[in-house]
Amino acid sequence: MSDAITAQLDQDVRGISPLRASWLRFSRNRLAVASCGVMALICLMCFALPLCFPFTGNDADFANLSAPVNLASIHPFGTDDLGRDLFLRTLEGGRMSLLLGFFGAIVSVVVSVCYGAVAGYLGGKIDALMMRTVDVLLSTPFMFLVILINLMLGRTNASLFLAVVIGLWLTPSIIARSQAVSLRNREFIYAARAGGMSSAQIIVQHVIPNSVNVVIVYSSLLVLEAILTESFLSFLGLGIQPPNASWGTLIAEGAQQLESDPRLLILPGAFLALTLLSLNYITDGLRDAFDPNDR
Amino acid sequence: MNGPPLLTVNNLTVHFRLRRSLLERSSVVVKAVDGVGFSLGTGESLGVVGESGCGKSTLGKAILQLVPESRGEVIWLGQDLGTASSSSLRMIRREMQMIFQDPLASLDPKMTVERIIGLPLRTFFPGLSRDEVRRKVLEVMEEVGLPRSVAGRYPHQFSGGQCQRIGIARVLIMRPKLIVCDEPTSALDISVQAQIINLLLQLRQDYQMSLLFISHNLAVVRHLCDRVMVLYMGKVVEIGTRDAIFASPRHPYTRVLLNAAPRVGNEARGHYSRVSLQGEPGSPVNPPPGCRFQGRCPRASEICRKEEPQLNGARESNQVACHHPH
Repeated sequence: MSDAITAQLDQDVRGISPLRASWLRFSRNRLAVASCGVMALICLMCFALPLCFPFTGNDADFANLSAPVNLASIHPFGTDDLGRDLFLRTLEGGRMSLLLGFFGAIVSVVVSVCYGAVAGYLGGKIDALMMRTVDVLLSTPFMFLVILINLMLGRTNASLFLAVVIGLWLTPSIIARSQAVSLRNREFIYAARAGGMSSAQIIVQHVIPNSVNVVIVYSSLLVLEAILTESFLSFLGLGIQPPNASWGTLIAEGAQQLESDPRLLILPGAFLALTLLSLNYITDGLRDAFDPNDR
Repeated sequence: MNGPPLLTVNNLTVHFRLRRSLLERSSVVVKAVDGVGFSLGTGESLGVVGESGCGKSTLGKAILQLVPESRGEVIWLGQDLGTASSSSLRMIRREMQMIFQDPLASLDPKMTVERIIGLPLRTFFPGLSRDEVRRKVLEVMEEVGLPRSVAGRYPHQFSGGQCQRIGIARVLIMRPKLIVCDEPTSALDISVQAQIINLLLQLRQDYQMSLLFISHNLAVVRHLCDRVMVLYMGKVVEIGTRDAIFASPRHPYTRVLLNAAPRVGNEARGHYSRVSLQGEPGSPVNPPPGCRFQGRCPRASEICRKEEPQLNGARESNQVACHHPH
């Protein structure tokens, strides 16, 4: 009996969920879709291509110090002054940057949406306390926090990750909180309370799903910001420690040798710029697709 | 009415505090509901009427303990909800449910119809299997006249009337003893209103449910309710059986209210004169001393400006709070 009902239901026209409608709108935006393709290609290169090389980016090739660009040779984009393959180092650095960027953004979004939803829905003193905490963190200089974290946890990748998340989750949590405040007095929330749901259930089942589409637009911007923050911290020497590389450290090294060997700056710089540009277009596409004012 | 009442409300008061600014300590109190009392028997339906802003909706929400600012007693089958523990309040909430004014806004836009209707069931009985919930949801959908094929759709794909049917199905799935209907038809077309009203009537007969029907549509109240309560600025001005209220209203405000409703044919040559009200109702922030209706009342006299009239129970069928009742 129940199987028959299930089968019948699945056969019937399923509704178009608001999320799918947004996705359809996004897929019609050619620039955004093309940017997704570019991003996918960059990710593929950074994660798959290094496996094809017989050496790693940290191996020095003393026979080929500062080799020039020669696409036919084993070092297609040459080596740096220590004989390390530049292209491979850029790809491996990209792996670090992208991982930090995406995971940093995802963790920031999850933390901020949950935090904002709880503060906004509960309101009152809890809300005031939670949001004043955010204000205090926002008004503390970012570099000060980063140095503090570095002192406490040492200069590890974990502390860099933590620094990125701490720098990024604050603003989206304010957005999520204001969304939760506006949801709190909607009738379907009253209906949920009359239906016996506890605050925790309402936050998880009603408030968070309805806050996500507001934050999702901002979250694609976060990937970009996370990559930039990582590059910026690495550039200053607070991030990835040598001999490991990220785009930020590579650019920092390249900038020092700009006059003698501009390749060192141009290759990682071009990858970073291309990534940020694609992410920008993707963000634009997402905003157009999800913007509630558009409907 | 036989047996103890299902619901008794004593001196229910909702005062909202508005703070003028962050630094100013003094606050303004809005008396949305001020000392309302009534009782409701099993299977009985009580209409609550009054103009916009008189506290009707707040009253409904306060009874369901959805307004934290409310004071006074709400007694459900002998138990005071104000002092009930949160777990026993949860159990009681199974039995009292609410239908909302804006049908679309009362449904979560991110959920399918099936999920919306099944949610209360899954909240109260987490042990139920997916198929059991689905079976009940489809059953109740049929009951309120929704085709099974729409179970997978989202609220924005429905008309207002269908959304209200979804809202009713969500309430009905718990088989509540009391449904608070907060102007369930005011956002709907006339033809759809009739369908929803008939659906409510039908369900009331089938399941012996009590209704607290909040509305400003007097024709609907007359059609659906056994008793009528008239609110003015958060106070009960008149309460009585439907026939008594509609045939011989005693409070001047009730008369005006009934007069304002359009009538057709013979009825139009009514037995009481046409009076329409001048001015706006006073502000609930600073109600005048004495009777709250005095400023607009054709019968107001000296005593109305000094002394607040109390509900008097001289006639069981019709109680009125007025110094000069008709």
